[in-house]
Amino acid sequence: MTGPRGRSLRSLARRAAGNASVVTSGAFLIAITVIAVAAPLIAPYDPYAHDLSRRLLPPIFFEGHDAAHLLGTDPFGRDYLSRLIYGAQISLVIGASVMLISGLIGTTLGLLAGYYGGRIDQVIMFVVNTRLALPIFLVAMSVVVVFGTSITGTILTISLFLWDRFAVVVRSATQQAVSRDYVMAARSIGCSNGYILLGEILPNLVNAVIVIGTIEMAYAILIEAALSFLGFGIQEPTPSWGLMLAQARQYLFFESWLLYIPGAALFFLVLAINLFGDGLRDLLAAGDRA
Amino acid sequence: MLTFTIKRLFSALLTLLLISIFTFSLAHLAGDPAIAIAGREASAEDIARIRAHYGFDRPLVQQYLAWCGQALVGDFGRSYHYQQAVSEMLATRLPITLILGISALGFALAISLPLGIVAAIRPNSLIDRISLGLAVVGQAMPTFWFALVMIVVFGLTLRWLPISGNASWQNFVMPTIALGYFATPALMRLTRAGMIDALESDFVRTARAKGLSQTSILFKHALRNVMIPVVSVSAVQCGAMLSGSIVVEQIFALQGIGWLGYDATVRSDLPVVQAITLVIAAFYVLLTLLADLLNAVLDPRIRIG
Repeated sequence: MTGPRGRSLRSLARRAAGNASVVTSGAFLIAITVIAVAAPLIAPYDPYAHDLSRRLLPPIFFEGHDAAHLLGTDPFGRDYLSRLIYGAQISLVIGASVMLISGLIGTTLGLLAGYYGGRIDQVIMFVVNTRLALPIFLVAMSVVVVFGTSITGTILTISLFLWDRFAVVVRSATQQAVSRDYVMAARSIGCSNGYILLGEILPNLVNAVIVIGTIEMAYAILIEAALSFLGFGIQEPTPSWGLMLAQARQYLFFESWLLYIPGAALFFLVLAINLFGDGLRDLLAAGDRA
Repeated sequence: MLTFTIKRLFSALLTLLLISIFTFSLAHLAGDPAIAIAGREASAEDIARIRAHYGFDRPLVQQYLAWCGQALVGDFGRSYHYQQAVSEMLATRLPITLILGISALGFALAISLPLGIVAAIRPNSLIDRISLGLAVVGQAMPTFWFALVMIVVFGLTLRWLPISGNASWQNFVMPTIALGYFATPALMRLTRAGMIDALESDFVRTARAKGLSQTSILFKHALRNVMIPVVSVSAVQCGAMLSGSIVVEQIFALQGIGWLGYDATVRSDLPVVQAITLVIAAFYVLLTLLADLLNAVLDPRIRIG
């Protein structure tokens, strides 16, 4: 398996380099990740430092700006650019963690449902349908009321809502794999169910799981922002884009730039993740056909 | 068809049962409701009296069964905060959310169906590109941010539309667009992909060979096949919109059940939160049930297989 897989990865990388949408969105994502990781080095100010004498300074493209604060300052006089940079950390950490946890839950359930079928499949699909019926925001808010607010809590809460697509896609892919020759061959030479699932079927589902992963990461970032916006996610003074938008809401009329900056950051991050995922899906589909 | 209906009905009821257990447990994990009602400064006797009055001293299973039995006949208890029957509060709020949900779904379908169909008939045309752009942007757009930007542009700057309340139909315009646009990308992509598949299929080729008109091929043959996934996804999107209505109603102070749900969660008004979670879940279950039954009527393969 390693031989052809290594080669296919290299050829994937080569084809990705020729795909404009994957290159642009990928470069953007790498740039944001670098900025987020290197935030202490890049951010011009401490994102927590209040300065009430310099409240609500506009960004440099507006009149009355202060060149020391490129994107102005928030209602507490904190540097907006620094908070934006640190906010990227929150979005990325939450997006990636939720993707991993919900991916683990959903892939496991999908593998079990698709492989064993019957009762197990019925029960798992029933749980998927039940999860879909739960209103995300209302239940997430109740969970926060019960367990309190923390980054870990936010990650776990969102993870509990985003595993269903992994489960459904992995289940149907596993159902197809079960009837393939390689699985039957593994069975006939007496491989254990665990080995067939993890060693034979799972490696062939990696592509599909990665593509779903990008979709769910984008969703997780949007849900975190919305929860923080409503006051049930990340709390002050931690810089989160959703929280910055909640604050901007009180200044919509005179300082609407407070609203545009974090919102645009959120939009472009999610857009880049989606485009990257779409491009990856097309590349992988082309690879399967070749 | 009857077996299919009964099976589907049974699983819908089971889902609701599981959700009722879930919401009930969540509410009771939230800490002692007697303290929540009495307030933090209440004396031990007061709390004991409230506990006995509301029946919180009974075993949990008994409390759950009592709650379920009452919920079945539409009695969700009384709000801790407003001291009003929850069912009355729901009855006044529900129509607002339903109007919002229906108009948002209507908005989403009015955009996604025509654009998806035209995009499928003329791939790579200008319309195809515009609809792809709308879908890509819509997928990345944070709904609450979109709502706030509309408030700044159409409410505060241009002063075309009211920004809060639910006094007139104009109050519903921006919430409808915010919520409807959220549901548009999935529906548009589905319509386009389904239509392309249908137009390449054998039955459309046969219809062409018979010399049927383009209109008849499109609307009588191809569209009918596209409608099956569109109906299913519309039901799912409707459920997602009911959930998303919390955010949108909160922003526009549109006082439907989403707004009430937010208000109740902030106040830890558990009977109201429980009832709204259950009602929204019931709506979703009902919508997907109807969609499945409708699809079984549209496509015989579903009801037999």
